[in-house]
This record gives sequence, structure tokens and C-alpha cells, in this order.
Amino acid sequence: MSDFSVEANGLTKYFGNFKAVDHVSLAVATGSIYGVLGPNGAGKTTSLRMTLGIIDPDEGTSRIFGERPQSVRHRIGYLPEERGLYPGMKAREAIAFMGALRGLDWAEGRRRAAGFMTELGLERVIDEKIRKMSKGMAQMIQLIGSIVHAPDLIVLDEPFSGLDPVNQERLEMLVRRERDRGATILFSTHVMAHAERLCDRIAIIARSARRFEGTVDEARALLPMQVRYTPRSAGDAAAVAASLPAGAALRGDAWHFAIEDAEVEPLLARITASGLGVTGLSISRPALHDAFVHIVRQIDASFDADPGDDAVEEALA
Amino acid sequence: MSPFLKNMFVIARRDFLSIVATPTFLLFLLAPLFMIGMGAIGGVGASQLADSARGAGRIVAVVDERDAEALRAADVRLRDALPRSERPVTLKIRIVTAEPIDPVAIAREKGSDTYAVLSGPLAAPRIVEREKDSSSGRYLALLASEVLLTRAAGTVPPVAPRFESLTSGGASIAVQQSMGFAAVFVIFLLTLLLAGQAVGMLAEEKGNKVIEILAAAVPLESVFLGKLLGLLGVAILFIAFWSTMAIGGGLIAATQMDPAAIAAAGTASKPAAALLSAPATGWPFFIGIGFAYFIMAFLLLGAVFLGVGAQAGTVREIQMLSLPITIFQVGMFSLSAAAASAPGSGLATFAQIFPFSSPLAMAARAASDDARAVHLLAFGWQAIWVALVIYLSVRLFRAGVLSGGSGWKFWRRAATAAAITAAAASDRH
Repeated sequence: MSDFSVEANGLTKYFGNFKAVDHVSLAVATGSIYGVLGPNGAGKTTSLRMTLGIIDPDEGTSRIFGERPQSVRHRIGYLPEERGLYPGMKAREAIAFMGALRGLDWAEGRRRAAGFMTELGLERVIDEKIRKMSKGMAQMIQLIGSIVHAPDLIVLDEPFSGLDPVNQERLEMLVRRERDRGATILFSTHVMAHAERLCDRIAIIARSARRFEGTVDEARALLPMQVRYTPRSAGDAAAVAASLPAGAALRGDAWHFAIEDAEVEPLLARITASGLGVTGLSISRPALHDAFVHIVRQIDASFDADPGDDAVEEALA
Repeated sequence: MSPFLKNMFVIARRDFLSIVATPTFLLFLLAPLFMIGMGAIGGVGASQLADSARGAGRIVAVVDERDAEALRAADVRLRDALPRSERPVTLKIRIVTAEPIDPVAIAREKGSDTYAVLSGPLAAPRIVEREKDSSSGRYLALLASEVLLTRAAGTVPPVAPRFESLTSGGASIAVQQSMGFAAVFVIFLLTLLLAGQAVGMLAEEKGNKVIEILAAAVPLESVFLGKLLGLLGVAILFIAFWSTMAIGGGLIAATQMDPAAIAAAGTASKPAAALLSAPATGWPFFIGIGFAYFIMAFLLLGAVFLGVGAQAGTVREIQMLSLPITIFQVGMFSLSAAAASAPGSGLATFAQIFPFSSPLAMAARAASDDARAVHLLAFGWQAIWVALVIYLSVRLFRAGVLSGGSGWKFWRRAATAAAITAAAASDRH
């Protein structure tokens, strides 16, 4: 059996002349949490839909657990980007219904629904109709509905959008717990903090194509280390600058500059040798957010310089 | 149970409960009260249809050449004397040949609407009527009398006609045709009642965005079939409710009546005679097959409406789609009703073969034709069309709503193919 729960190769989708997804490939290791990141309109949702077999790709293939997605529907839990529930249904019934769609017995679905809702502090709305709930609450109900049948693969499209911080925290907890149960999680987001905290690996999609694939650390490593240095004595700024790498800028009483990994120890040696002293020194990797912005801007810049695909440009315009 | 069927029943259960477990379902249950009003309108239509059919019908006299001219002349005289509304249908005269002629066979000839056939000597003719005590039969007797009276130029002994009514399984053909029409009408009304709901069903899913969850979880074919099944469940509940009410009401009424009066009514009145008559295939078969054809009509038309309705995204679009759908339904009803009044005609055959009128027309056929095996064939034919319509509806739905299914719309396929070719060419360079 493959080590990958999801293997999508070269997925391509056109909407008319617009290439919405351009040869996107995803390989999600079994038992991992995988994030698909990208700006709005990048093609994340279409990629996920093709991966799950909801829509057919114009090119490329998708295999889930080594089979056609349609053959393993019952092993998948899916939260679509556009949330949808029957407004006239009660919460517990709505969850049991979604479980029943994936082959779960109704009674067992109701029992599990009550358990999940109690755990997530939603027990007071167990028999409340969906139409009476807040948007965030309904979203939590739908999320529970997508995992109530204990799927082996959980696909969540922008799961955090619309949730308050408390519910975002609960959702993160739920995702980790499902992973610990053995499930594979694939989710899309454009909020980097969640991906940074949760994901084992990420793919960044921009302008319809996959632009990066790797771990969060590998994404962050695309940018140099960020240094914030405060000398003991302000002294002569020019003399200080001479001891620091080119591009160092003084903001307030601290110098800010970037260095490559290999330059850290030589930098420390130079500061020590200079006799400027140290009041404050932080050397840190940039956040995923910075790496994401860096990648997307690079892609945007290259497209601006050489549009290449007229259809994409036309559509994005 | 296979996953496909299981999914279908999950969808059906949800839809069934979402309709039944609401206060508005009570209004739906009361719909027969509105149906009675519609029935009255339908009755007028049927009457007009019958009148027009009568105009196209015939009475036949099988006589020798000597009597033929005299009969034609008498027919012209008598017609002129009668008010327009009471004039009989066209008189056709057949000349007696060496071959024996069977008047019953003439009365049963396919493709023509024969009300009565006169044969034998004019003084004591044999008159085969489609319906007992019909005005057509009496008119033929009057014609014979008129010819004899003219020839004798004086008093003649009264004509002594021997009437016999055409029967099939002991029932009048006319009564059986009425039963056929009633079957068409009931099936039409029930499908009409449910069509509106079928049109709006997928629009609900699109409106509240559940469709993507359904499409991701189960095959769209089982979504479509599940929805039809759920609605069929509602229909069966509806039929069961009103059947129970009717049977209960009938039993209560029966306990209030004098048995002797019921027996007397059975021999005297025409409606009672109709009740005592049986369709050509017999009551149990006719009721069973009528119910089965209702299911087929519902599945066929429901699948069309579901598929068409699936293209609608708003209430306004649903309303716009409702009109052509209703016109289509009425068209199928008219076709089947016309077929019911002219069994054996080319029109009837067409209505029985045309997929969307087939269930109605075949139900009517079960009333007047005792052949049973043909219904199996019809079921098979209709089932093929149900599957075909659902398949096409799903493709249309997938292409239109989920923006998938590349290759369905030919213009989209062409545009996409061109885009892919262009992209491949650009990659090569």
C-alpha cells in the first residue's frame, strides 16, 4: 500500500479559456496534516474539488488510497468552502444525516453527534434547528458532520474562515485529535498562522499553479534569517554599520538586517571582536507569513514582467 | 443493501421527512378538494372530447344493394328532421357479399369509433351497440322502419330489432373506455400535484449550498433517484390517506343505506352499472397496473422536471420553468385522453409508445384491452427512459451546476479543447 493517502498528478482545469488550475500535483502522506495555501482565487478550491472527484479535471489524475476518489467516498470527510446545511434540520439530525451519507448508521450518527457537540461546548443547541444558529455555530455543526463517520481522510476547504478565535482554537484541537486518531488531514487556508501551527507539509498555489511544496520550515528557509541587534553603546553609527552586513538599517536603537544561515557564527564573532557590546540580539527565522508573501509577490512580479498566459491575465483582470 | 441504494434511501428519507413533517403538508393533503374543482373542469373537457370523437365516429349498416340507396335517402331525411345537437354520427353502408359478415367484428374494428352496426333483414334487424340502449342503436332501428314505411306507402308492421350490446369480459366497451379515461385523469392529476415540488427540489440544495456535500458524498444518480423516491413516498402516503378516507366514507355510507335499494340501483342506474362492470383486464390487475403506471409516470416526468429544475437557481427561474412544464404535462394528458377514447387507433398506438405519455395511455389500454403481456413490454420501455432521463439530467446538472463534466456542452468542450491545444503549443515553443 502507498504511503500517501492522496496522490494528485498534474491536475488541470479550464473554465472556458481561463486556466483555473495548471498542472497541480499533491502528495499527502498518510497520517499527516497537509496545508494548501494560496491567495484568494489561486485555484485551491478547484484543486481540492478535482482531487476529491467532485469535478472532473481536464488533465491529470487523482487517486485517494490508491483508488478513484469516487470509490472511496465513504472514507472521506469533506467540508466545502461554501457551507451548506438544511435550515429546517435540527443540529443532531444534520450531523447524523451527513454521517448516513457516508454509510454511518443513523442511530450511531446521533450518538456521536451528541458526543462531539458536548465536547465542543455546543450541547445546548443539540436539538436546535440550523436556521436559529449563528453562522459560526452552524459551521461547527457542519465540521462535526464531516468527521462524524471517523473518515480516514479529512478535507477541509478554508475551515477557519468565519470562526471566532475560541472556535478556531477548538478546530485546531479537533484537527490534531483526528490526526492522532490516524486520519490524514488536507486543508486549504490563506491564514498562515493555522498552517504554521498545524501542518507537516504545505503546498503554496498562486496564479493557478503550485509554486512551493515542502515543510513549513523549508518555506521559511526560503528567506534569510532576520537579525535585530542593539549595541551596548550607540557610539558612531557608521562604525557600527561597518561591523554589520550590508543593508543593515537603524530603527530606534536597534539595527535590523538579514543574514544567511552560514553567516550567523561569523556575525557573532565580528560583534564580539568589535567591542560594541550587546544589549539585545535576536536571530530568528521569518514567519511562514513572510515566506508566503515573498513567494506570491515573486510570482506576481514575474507575471507582471512577462504575462505569458494571456488567458490567465485576462481572467484575473 | 448496496451503497448506491443505501445512499438513495438516505436522500429519500431526508426529503420525505422534510415534506411530511411540516404544517404545510396538511395543505397538500387537502389538495383533492381543489382536485374536485379541477375534475369538474376535466369532466367538461372530457365531455367535449367525447363529443368531438363522436363526430368522427360512425354507425354502420350492412345491407344488400337494394336497401342501400333507400337507407341513404332515409338517413338524409331523418337527419334534416333532427335538431343539430341530436344528429347521429356518420352512417356508413356496407353491401352484403357472398362472404359472411360479422357485425361484432365490424363494431370492434381498430382505428374507427363504431357506435352501432345494423345487419340482417330490415324488418327484423340485428343491431350490435357499443353501449346498451344507445341513441345510435335506436337511430338505426328508426332508419330501417323509415325505409320499410316509404316502400309500403302505407302501414307496415313495426320493425322488430334485436339489440345486443358489445361487451368485453362482460362489460360495455364504452364503460371500459370511461374507466381508461378515469385512469388517465387520476394519474395526470397526481403527477401534476407532485411536479411542482420536483422542479424546486434541487433548487433548495443549490440555494442552501448542500449540493456540494451531497455531490462529494454520494453519486449524483443516487441523489436524483433518492429525491424521486422521497417524493414518491409522499405521493403514496397521500394516496393511502385518501383511499382510507374514501373506503371509510363508503363503508359508513353503506351502513346507512337499505340493501334492497342498493340492489335496485345496481340494475337500474347507469353509474351503478359502471361500478358493476369490470375493466378488460379485471379489477385487481387494472388497479395494480394503474398504480404501477402511476409510479412510472411519476418517475419519468419527475426525472424530467428534476433535471430541468436543477438548472434553475432562483425562485423566479423555477416559476419561469413551471409554465412550459405544466403545458407539457397537459399535452401528455390530452394525448393520452384522446388515445383512451379511440383504442386501437394510430393515435392510441403513438401515445402508448411515446415515452412520456406511455404510462397514461397504457393504463387506459388496460381498461379496454385484455392483453396483459404488453404491459411488461411497456414497463421495460418506460424503465429504459427513466434511466436515460436520469442519466442525462445528471450530466446536465454536473456540467451546469458543478462546472465539471468536461465534454458535455459541445461549445464548452470546443473552447476547452482549443485552450488545451493552445497551451500545449505554447509549451512546445
